[in-house]
Amino acid sequence: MKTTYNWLCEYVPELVTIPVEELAHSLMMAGLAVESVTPVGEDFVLDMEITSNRGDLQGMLGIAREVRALTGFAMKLPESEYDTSGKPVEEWTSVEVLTPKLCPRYTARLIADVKVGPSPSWLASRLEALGFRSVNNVVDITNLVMLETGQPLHAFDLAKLAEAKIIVRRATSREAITLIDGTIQELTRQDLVIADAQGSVAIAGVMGGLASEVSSSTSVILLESARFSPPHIRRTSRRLAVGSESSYRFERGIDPEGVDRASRRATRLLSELAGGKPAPGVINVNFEKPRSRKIRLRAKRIGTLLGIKVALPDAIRMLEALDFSIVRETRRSATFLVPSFRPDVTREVDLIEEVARVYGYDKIPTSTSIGLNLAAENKVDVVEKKLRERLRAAGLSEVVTYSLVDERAAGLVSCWSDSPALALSNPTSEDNKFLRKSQIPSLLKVAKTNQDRGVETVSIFEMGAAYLPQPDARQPEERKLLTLLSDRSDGFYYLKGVIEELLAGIGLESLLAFTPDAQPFLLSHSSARVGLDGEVLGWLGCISSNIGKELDLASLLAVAELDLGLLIDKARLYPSYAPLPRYPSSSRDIAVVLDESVLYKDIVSVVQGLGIAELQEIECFDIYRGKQVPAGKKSLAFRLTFRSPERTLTGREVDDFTERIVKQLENELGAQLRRL
Amino acid sequence: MTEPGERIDLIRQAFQQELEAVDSPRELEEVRVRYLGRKGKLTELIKVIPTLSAEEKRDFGRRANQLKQELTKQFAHKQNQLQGSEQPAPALLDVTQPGARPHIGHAHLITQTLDAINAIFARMGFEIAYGPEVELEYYNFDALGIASDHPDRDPFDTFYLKDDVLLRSHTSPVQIRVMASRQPPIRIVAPGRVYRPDTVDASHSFMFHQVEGLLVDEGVSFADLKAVLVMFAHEFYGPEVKTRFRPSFFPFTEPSADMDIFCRLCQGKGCPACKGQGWVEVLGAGMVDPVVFKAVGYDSEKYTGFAFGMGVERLAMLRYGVTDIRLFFENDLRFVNQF
Repeated sequence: MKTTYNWLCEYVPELVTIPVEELAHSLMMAGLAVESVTPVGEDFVLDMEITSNRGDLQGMLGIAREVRALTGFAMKLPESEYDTSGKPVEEWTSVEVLTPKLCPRYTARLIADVKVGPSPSWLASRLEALGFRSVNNVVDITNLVMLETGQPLHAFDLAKLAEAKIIVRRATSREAITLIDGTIQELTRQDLVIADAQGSVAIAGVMGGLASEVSSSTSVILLESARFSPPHIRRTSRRLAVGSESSYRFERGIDPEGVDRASRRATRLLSELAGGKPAPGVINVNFEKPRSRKIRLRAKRIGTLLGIKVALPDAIRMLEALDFSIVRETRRSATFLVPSFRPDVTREVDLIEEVARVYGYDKIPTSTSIGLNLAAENKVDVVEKKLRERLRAAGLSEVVTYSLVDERAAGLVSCWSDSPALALSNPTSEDNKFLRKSQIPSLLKVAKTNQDRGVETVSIFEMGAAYLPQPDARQPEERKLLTLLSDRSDGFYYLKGVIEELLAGIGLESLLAFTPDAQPFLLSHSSARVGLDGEVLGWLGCISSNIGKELDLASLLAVAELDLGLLIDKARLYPSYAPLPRYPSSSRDIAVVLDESVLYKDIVSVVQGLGIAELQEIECFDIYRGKQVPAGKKSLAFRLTFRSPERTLTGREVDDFTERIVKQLENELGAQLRRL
Repeated sequence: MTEPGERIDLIRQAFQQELEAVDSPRELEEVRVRYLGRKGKLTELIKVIPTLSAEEKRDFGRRANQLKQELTKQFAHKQNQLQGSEQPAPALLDVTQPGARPHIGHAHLITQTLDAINAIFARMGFEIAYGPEVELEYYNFDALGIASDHPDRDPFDTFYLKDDVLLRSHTSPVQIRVMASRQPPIRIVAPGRVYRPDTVDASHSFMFHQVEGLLVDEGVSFADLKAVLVMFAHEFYGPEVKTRFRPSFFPFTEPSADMDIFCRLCQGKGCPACKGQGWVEVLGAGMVDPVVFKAVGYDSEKYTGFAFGMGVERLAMLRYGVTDIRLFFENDLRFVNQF
């Protein structure tokens, strides 16, 4: 539903004191969803989404009424008085309604001597601002009044109505009509038509017929203003796939008392702007009984339902501004008469909603008396849960070990702190006397227990803490640690892969770095420090042979211990969507022979250093040492995958990239391409 | 010499006969070479063309071409047929053979039980709070109304490091820390490791896990305590569980209670699991003692609250039928991987 700021100011003159943005906001907060405010010339067009229960807001006067209620400004109704002349309308025409249920009311006025021509520019531009094409002064006036009042009107050229009469009836089966948009529609008995003595001249409430349309030669107009049954209009409109501004409004319900008002308003405009001479009287076929609905509102109930205290006088004031008139008042309640244009208000709770709208939803407090609170979720729990799930999926089982260990275990691993472990002054046993500084000794013990009992594979983890002495504090630092252990023969790379997967799961994989780093508890040739974005995350390696002998371990064990607190802190929980590639990739396999001393990361950095943007992935799928490769060297087989985001790469281009990469490896790392 | 036209027909016939007799790829190939190959009959036929008159050439050429297409088509058809019959039938899968099972790890039973307990309280709006395991006496005792030389201290034998630094014997210190740092309403559970110098046996360990809870607000009563704990019991033990509350004693709650559940194993008749009682004690609780509120600066006239505590291993043992608490910390994978 569109309206313009200036137009509204015509009905609510003081509205000019409120800037349009403020008006839009107030309307929005009162339930008229303003979707856009568009400047058009000196004016603004407000586009509002009206809910289906508010048929009264399909006309600007309805909106003006809301504005009056929200602002307290006075409303000025448009003029609808006119002078009459000549013979009364009954001598010009007649109206017969054969279907009272489908058409409960039909009014017709007669305006003679109309001079059909272009509309005055103010009228045309007003219509155009709201997306209506200016046709001629008569049609434009009917559209204007429809926009103003929400009541659709239709003007017939009386001369083109056979026997100058109107019959409202069902269409006969297969009756056809040519509409004003030029299409021909075949009707059924389900459709309601406006007909003359010979045939249908309009599909009631939906669209007029071409034959009786107002044209430049028209001089006598029959002005229709009626009410039709909303479900019938809807059905016809859907079935014929013909909709109009009129049918839209009829479907949502028309104010019974607005039918005649709109007709009078249009008649006045027709006499004022089109030189028309209205006939006295109006033909009013009315089957409706005037309804008056009364609803009682208890002040206390407002508080119960809304959680605000509204005194009865204030509630009365708010509702009266919306045209609910008060018929009875007691100390605790008031009874209101529902205006005819609010068929949606039928119960006390509907009145309470009106009060809430005018009061302002944003002024209703956001506090609860029923004791609700949102328990915050700890990032610690979320991340630990995620990590635990991944560790399980990777095949590791969780263990829980004692925080207190014996002296030897307490001194075994000092990578986090080289201060002596804290000791209890009253331990119950020497086995559990010291607060551990690492979980590794505890997991080694678990590994041994399981190995001794013949349990086949031991791949385990613990999420716990180490207790690091603080020289200046009485309590130690309880550092959360994640410790992994595996007795698989490929344990080192298995745990490394697990760590890479774990960090990928929390968005940190790209920040990982492994550097060789000797630790006394690890085998020197297979120990690494794990870095995260430059900080120490932990260590990974194979347990030293000394410890292995000391503990009488059956096999080589790989361990890793990571600062869980750091992981939790840096964890990224919500990955960003990366769009899928549009073009296919192309890959080439190469195998190069390199010195043992060349590190994988050096190979990758040499390849990436070429800056080939199309290189998506380098995957090493085989590392070979043996007969076909000289001693002290290794052969690495890589799959290079290329893809461009803009097009499919040609074979030549991909070959070219590969060649450049091979050359670079040869030059920088002394690689030799190996023929596979 | 036969007419060129006749020759076409003869070749056609002969080809079809020989093709029909073909039984194997080798034979098929022989036929192909003989008719469609470089020196085959079709090619020979084409050589005839230069000897013909212009008119004859056209007609002959057309028919020869036609023949070539026909023979090629029939050949291909035969080839398909042979291929089809040459394929060995696929081997029937032994569907009873064990599948290739992925090896998936297990979360520890303590973690699983903790998660289950925390989740139930989280749904009731309880936040999870953590605190240090190595605590100060003040938080473990004094703030809870357990004065240093009070006889109530005895049941709480504790591990000490030095001076007043100890290993917490319950997770109540976390509650004190939370209350000291903010105003009510408070709704928390505090899970974590606790330590008591008990002799280690099948039902005692010097280290175990507790979950304690605390709810402080205006208008909280013992009825609310019962409601929350019964809701927990129904979630954790099942909707048919029967509960009862018995008066008990804790220095920091008044009144204090123990909550029991009806022993499902013996249906209340008495058995080892419930120590012959018919009911099993699962947690302790009570209304927070005003002395605790005083320590954290809450107005005990305005606020009331309740606290409760339960042993995680104990609950897990009851729920899963684990008979020895030491199994949790031995971490035999044959135990861990059962759950």
